[in-house]
Amino acid sequence: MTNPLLARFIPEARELIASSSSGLLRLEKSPSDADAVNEVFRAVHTLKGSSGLFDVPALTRLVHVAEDLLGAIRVEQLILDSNLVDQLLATLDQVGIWIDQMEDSERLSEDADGISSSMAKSLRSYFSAVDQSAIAPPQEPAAASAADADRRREWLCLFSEGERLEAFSRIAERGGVLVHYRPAEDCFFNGTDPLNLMLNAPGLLSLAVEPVSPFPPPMDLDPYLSNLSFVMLAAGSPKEIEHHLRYELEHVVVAALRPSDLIMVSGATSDAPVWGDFREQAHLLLTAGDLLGIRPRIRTMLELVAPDLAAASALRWLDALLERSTPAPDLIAALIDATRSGVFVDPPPDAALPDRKVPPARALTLARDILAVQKRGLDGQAFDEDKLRTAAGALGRLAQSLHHGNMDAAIAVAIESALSSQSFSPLSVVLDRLDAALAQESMRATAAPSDGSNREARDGIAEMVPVAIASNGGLDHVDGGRGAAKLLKVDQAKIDLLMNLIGELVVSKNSLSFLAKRAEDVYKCRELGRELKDKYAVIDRLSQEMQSAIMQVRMLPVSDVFDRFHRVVRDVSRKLEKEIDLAIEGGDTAADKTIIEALGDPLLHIVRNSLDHGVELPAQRLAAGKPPRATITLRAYQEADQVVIEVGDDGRGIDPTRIRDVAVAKGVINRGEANALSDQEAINLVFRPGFSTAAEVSDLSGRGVGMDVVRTVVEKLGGRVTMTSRVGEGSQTRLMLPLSMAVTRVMLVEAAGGLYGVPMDLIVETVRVAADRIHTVKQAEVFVLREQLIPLVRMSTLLKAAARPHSPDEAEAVLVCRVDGRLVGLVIDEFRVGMDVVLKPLEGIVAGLRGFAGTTLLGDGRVLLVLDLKEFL
Amino acid sequence: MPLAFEEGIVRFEGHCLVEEALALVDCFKTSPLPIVHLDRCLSMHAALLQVLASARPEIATLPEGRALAAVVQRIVGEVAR
Amino acid sequence: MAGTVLIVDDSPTMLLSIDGILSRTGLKVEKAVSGEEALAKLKSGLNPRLMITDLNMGAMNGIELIRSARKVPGMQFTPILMLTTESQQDRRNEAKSAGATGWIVKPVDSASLVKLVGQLVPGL
Repeated sequence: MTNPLLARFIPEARELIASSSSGLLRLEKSPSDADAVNEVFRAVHTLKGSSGLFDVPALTRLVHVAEDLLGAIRVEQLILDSNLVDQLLATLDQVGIWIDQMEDSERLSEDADGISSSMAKSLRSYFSAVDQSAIAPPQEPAAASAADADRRREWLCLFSEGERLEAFSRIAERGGVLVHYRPAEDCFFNGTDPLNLMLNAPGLLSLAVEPVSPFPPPMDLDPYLSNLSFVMLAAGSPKEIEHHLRYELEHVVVAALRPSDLIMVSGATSDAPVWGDFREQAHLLLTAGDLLGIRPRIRTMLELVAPDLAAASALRWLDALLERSTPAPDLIAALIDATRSGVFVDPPPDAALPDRKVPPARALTLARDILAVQKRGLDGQAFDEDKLRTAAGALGRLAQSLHHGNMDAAIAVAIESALSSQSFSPLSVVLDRLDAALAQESMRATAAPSDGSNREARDGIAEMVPVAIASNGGLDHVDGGRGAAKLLKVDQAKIDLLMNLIGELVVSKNSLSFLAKRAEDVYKCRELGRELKDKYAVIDRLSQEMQSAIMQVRMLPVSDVFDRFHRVVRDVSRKLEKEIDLAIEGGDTAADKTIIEALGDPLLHIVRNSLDHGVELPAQRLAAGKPPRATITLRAYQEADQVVIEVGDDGRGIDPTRIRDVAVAKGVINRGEANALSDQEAINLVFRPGFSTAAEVSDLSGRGVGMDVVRTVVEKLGGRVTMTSRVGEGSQTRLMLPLSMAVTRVMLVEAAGGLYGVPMDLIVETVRVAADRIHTVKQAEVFVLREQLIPLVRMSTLLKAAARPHSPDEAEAVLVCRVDGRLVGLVIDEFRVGMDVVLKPLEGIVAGLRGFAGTTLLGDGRVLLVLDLKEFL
Repeated sequence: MPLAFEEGIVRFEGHCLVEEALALVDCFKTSPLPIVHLDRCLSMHAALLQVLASARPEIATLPEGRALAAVVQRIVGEVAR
Repeated sequence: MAGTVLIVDDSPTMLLSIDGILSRTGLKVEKAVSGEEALAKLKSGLNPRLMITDLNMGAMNGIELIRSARKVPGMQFTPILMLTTESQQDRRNEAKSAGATGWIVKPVDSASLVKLVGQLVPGL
């Protein structure tokens, strides 16, 4: 990214999105939480402000609408319900996507405008309950409805023909505005004088004042209650009028006015033969383009006929129209015809295209550019369904925005045949067709510029728009008082390097104890040995402190991963129509960054299992005598050098009988084995590959990922996962993970003549077993430890090397380990010390060697192989 | 005082303010109604216009300002178009 | 037919700046540095034709001042403008319902303020 401002904006935006999302969730739970409202509002406001610094209008516009909504919520104009929360969260998600795009390419994807408008539209629909005028979109005027048109006509009727004729000549070129203003009854008490306000309006042409209800006689009149409504014709733009009336906008409707709107023919109809002659000649002259020739005939006719006839009225309008520099021929024709019918019908903007608006030339050029880009994306590219759908979506939106609504069917057909033929060409054809149509239109638009601009004016602005209150474009408090925390951002790689170096230090300090031993044993220098040991103790303490300090740097609170589950639980439970609360405990428990980051996916899967299968529907819960609202608990705490994470629910629990049946049905185990399992062991079957309890794969927890994947991930992190459950009461999944991954504690053991490391977290205990306590069951050696039968495995067998010879009456050294939840006794030659090591993965030609978790360098320079017992056994 | 009350006549002068609306109401509670002269009126508050609209007195002279004159004529007199 | 305009702001700089602008209109400028001072002046008979007050002031804010000022005899119909910043839009409706006629956005543009005052005070 080359833009430093953008580089600063992106993390800020993400932070703002995160804080407003979490604020929204809090707000949904307690809607009266004023702090949460303010927090969300401020975050969104700041986001809008900062985004305005970049050329991403789609993003800014959408955020602006969200801000408006939140503002309305803040002043309690609008009630926040779950649907609205959904919408707002979806909006924030979309903004997040755009932020990603800005990070990648410094701009938004091409469909951003379309997405922005449609999302903004659905957000705005929440305003329908609120005062429409306060928040109507300034950018996208709603199409003028028939009711609006009627109302506008009614207002125009307040003006006499003379007033309208005069206005017609004055607003001829620039267009004008029609303003309706009905001040509040008590407006005088605000210091407002509506009459002078209107009389001072810029471009005022005509002002009509009407009583709202008939005035009572002076006896009963309260002159201080306003009973007036105003309609005004003014030259100029709606913007100027809106600015003038800015304090009263909520009582004002401003409609752009095209000159032809003013034309109204009224009066008695009468059709003498002389009119027929006039019309014939006038049409001929019009066709010949001799507009000047028509005017003397109008004068003549006007002298002949009574002025109160509709035909006379039409003639006066025709005269006024012909005075203009470029009168529209279709208007002239319509007025000529009105001399017979007495009715003036404003012709549609373009007779050739009666059903739709013709976009201005500029928009056409832009649209063709977009098409060209889409086409480049398809031509000669390998077929890809996603790409197809994206392109089709863009095409559809484009067609719609250009009012080519009838493209939808063609696009749908094209998608289908593209899918069946696995090629883009059917869509390309549609694309070309639209392009050709646009090419024609833009030729028309540029060939007749005067006509075109006239048309644009008539189309673009003649709609009645409730006025929006001036919007806040201010960037004045983008950084609104956020205190600068004393934080240092450090590249993770640097921390990792430091961690490795300290790891090496921890290991090399071990050599001091070797040295001390040599000083005593080899050089017979006890004092030196003791001094070395003293120094070793100091270095040992310092290096351990250093290690834990650097480990603290890498520690993150589990809330980093927990917090996202508010959203997950909320969204999924709504989708499933279940009522579920999420309780989080111990969110500040910290663990290594790597662990926290890797924890997300397994946790997500477990939580989704609970949501999907564990928790019952409210009705089922009530029937079972439970409260309808279920609770899913995420709990974290530290236990010795492990962090324990528990996911619990108070749902229906896991039925071991069903698990056995399913396991047998899926061929995971046979019936005999299944029946021999304890209930707990049956539950553990869910961790077996190929097992999934859901009868059908749901779109939530399904996707073919089972608990076996969870187990794999957790074990890769050096952790363990267990699950317990009570039918009808719920289930609990426990993840036990190392606090840190960088340093592994291993026990050194001698076996088969070599030195090996065994990860300490697997070792349950070390025992010496006399030969006579070792029994043979079905050719397998076992021994009994506290009434538990433990199978024995000889390391020498596993390593395919000879064990150190020892006498039969000497007790065997046995390392009792827990592997996959089962106890195993590992027969070795001798136990040695435990030590911290930094595990290096196997590299080079030994990389493929199975059964080894990695290597580490010992203090005396030897390489230690650390066993991966899970793979070994 | 921008509103001058004389025998049978009310004269609006200069800029006529909202505070005088009640006095104007009072003068129209009599019968016959006083005649209103607006030719020296430069502006009037909407409240005064409302009193005129309620009493519908005879307007002897209209203001010079075209727009204000049209407004008064429209709301006080019969719609004379 | 000139008269008095009362401007209220706890910032002397702001008072000075608006005073400078309004002195061109022919109105006599009366100043107050707090809502309390302004209210006392109104109660002791000052009858301005226009009042302009800041929103954020010490003890009594602009909205409270407007609400109290409207109850002072002679002030019920007087135009009152509130000085706001671009970011205080949401306070504008509040101000209007407290009795403000409108608002001016800081920083104040002298030409448009003069024009606005001309519209609100007929006969200047």
